[in-house]
Amino acid sequence: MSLSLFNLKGYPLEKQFMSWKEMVMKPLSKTDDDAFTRVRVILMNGIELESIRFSHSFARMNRELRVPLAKMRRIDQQQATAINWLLGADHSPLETTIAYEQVAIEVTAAVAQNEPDPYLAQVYRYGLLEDFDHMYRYSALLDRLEGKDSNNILQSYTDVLPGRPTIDEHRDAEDDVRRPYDRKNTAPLSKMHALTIMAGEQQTWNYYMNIGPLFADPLARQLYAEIASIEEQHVTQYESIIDPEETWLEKLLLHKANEVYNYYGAVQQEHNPQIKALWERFLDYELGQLATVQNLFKEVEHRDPAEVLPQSLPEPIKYESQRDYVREVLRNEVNMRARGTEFISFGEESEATKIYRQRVNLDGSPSEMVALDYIWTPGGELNLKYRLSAKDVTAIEGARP
Amino acid sequence: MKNQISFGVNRTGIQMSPFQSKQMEAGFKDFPPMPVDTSMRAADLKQTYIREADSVGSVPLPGSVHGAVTTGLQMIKGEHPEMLMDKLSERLAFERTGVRLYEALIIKAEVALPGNALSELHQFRNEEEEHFVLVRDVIESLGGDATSQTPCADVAGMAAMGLMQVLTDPRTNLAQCVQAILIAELADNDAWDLLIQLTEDAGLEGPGEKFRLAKAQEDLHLEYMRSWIEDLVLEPQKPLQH
Repeated sequence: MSLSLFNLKGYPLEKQFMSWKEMVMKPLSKTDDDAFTRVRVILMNGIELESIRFSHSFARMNRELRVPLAKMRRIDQQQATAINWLLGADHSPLETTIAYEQVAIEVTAAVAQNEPDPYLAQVYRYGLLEDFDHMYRYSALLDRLEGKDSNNILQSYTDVLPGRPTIDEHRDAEDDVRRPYDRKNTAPLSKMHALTIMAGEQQTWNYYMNIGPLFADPLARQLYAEIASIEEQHVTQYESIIDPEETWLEKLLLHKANEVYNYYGAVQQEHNPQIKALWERFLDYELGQLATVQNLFKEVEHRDPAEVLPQSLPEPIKYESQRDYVREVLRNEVNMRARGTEFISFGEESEATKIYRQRVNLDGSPSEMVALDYIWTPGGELNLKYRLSAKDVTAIEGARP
Repeated sequence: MKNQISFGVNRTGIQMSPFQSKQMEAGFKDFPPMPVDTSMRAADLKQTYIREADSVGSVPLPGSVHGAVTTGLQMIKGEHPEMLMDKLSERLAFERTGVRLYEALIIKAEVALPGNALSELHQFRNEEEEHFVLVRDVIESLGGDATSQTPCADVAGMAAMGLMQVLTDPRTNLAQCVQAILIAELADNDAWDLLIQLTEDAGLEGPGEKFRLAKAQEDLHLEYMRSWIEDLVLEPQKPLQH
């Protein structure tokens, strides 16, 4: 069942408040809740943070709308707090990192399969294989630094295998800027996808930039520096697919619709009753905020929101393991590279990218060092020798370059 | 908080998803590790940083507000008075944090053991505070600045971060909290021995007896926590009291 955007008025904006106790709820269980509950928590936090970040930029450029934007931002910030604080303190920063990469892989893979625009689908598949490799590098770090198994977080939904090697992901900035969709001829679903993935990548950028310095270990500090740099590339990539000709209010309308879209998907698929109730409450809040923005759109731009929004929202993103799809993309596209706005074969990269990559990797590559010969094994790589057959050992040694 | 640990739907292990985990484990056969750059080992990088690293910080030179070194420092024998000052500051920091660890334990225990006076825990908390004051006074008698955070004090704080997280998490039960306190008391106990040795080597007569009394109190804390954790773990069904 799809959700109508014009008939539901939601909870009135002026009544949207939370107490500190409401914001700081019981956290989810790291060990007992389903991993996709955590995936939704992280994604929805990212969606709220993007909403706030966009609204701040909007307010800095539009005198008349500063007050209504500030009002909506206030509750957005409370929502983000309530959501982000659902992560318990027993998650180490590195374990939360694994969860962030699980979000990037599973959500991007789901989006890539449902994206109607072939170029945008290619963009998602391209980014997917890079985040997939980050999972492998961070899992090696978690195992080798903290002595923990990343699958305790992943719950066997997501693979830990090498993707497009992170060392090769470093590109000249020009080779990260993609073609934007055309706002007038693009399906609403494509717009929701672009905002959702951009929001997820943006919060990952923020997260890595904040927690990188918390690590004592120099290799961990370098790895976070390296992957945060790829997150900068990814945010550049994903924001560049969004039409820059959309007006500020049009973008705001889409942001709010996207929040409704994602909360709706979260409500539908959540099993934790406390968190499901929170998603329901926030879906109602977002419908209220969307109604407010529709009024602003009519008053300020004298346009009908139906020009921008569909009558009803598309089917939500599915939260389920995308293992088979990801492996298929990995087989077919791991050697793909990017040049300008286009995707090319290995070996056709720009000189600028080759020079840039050489410069950043000049003193060694943390993503290579951390994962040298790493093979994910249940319970940690210390178990590897006890679980491999002689045939497996020969196969591994034969695969070494 | 629930005091009893129980069986439940823990999803972290592979037995919860036998089919998916088999696929996952076999993945490396199709997608093996393919190193691109093997020019540097992880240990080499780490050792390069270790060689280039500065220290965590320094021990402030004891002195008056005018910067003149006081006579206090001259009372210390031996060639490394900075070591004594650093270790005194570490003890001060640890005992100060110890007060907060006990306060967190008392808050937890009041929920787990309603109606219990928890007199021993209050006593131990107060003794940690007395030890803090004792070490502070010794540092000041030597002309040191008891408000400074020396390198060992800083590192002791790093080490205690996880303990405080365990004690203040509303979900951790009494046994888990007592185990965290036990780790603190074990480290504290040995550290007092070392500090007593250090003050004696430095020829400081004053604090010796008081330090030995503090150590005797720490011995009691340690014994108490050892015995308590045994009760909580070995006889979990027994009504909680202590």
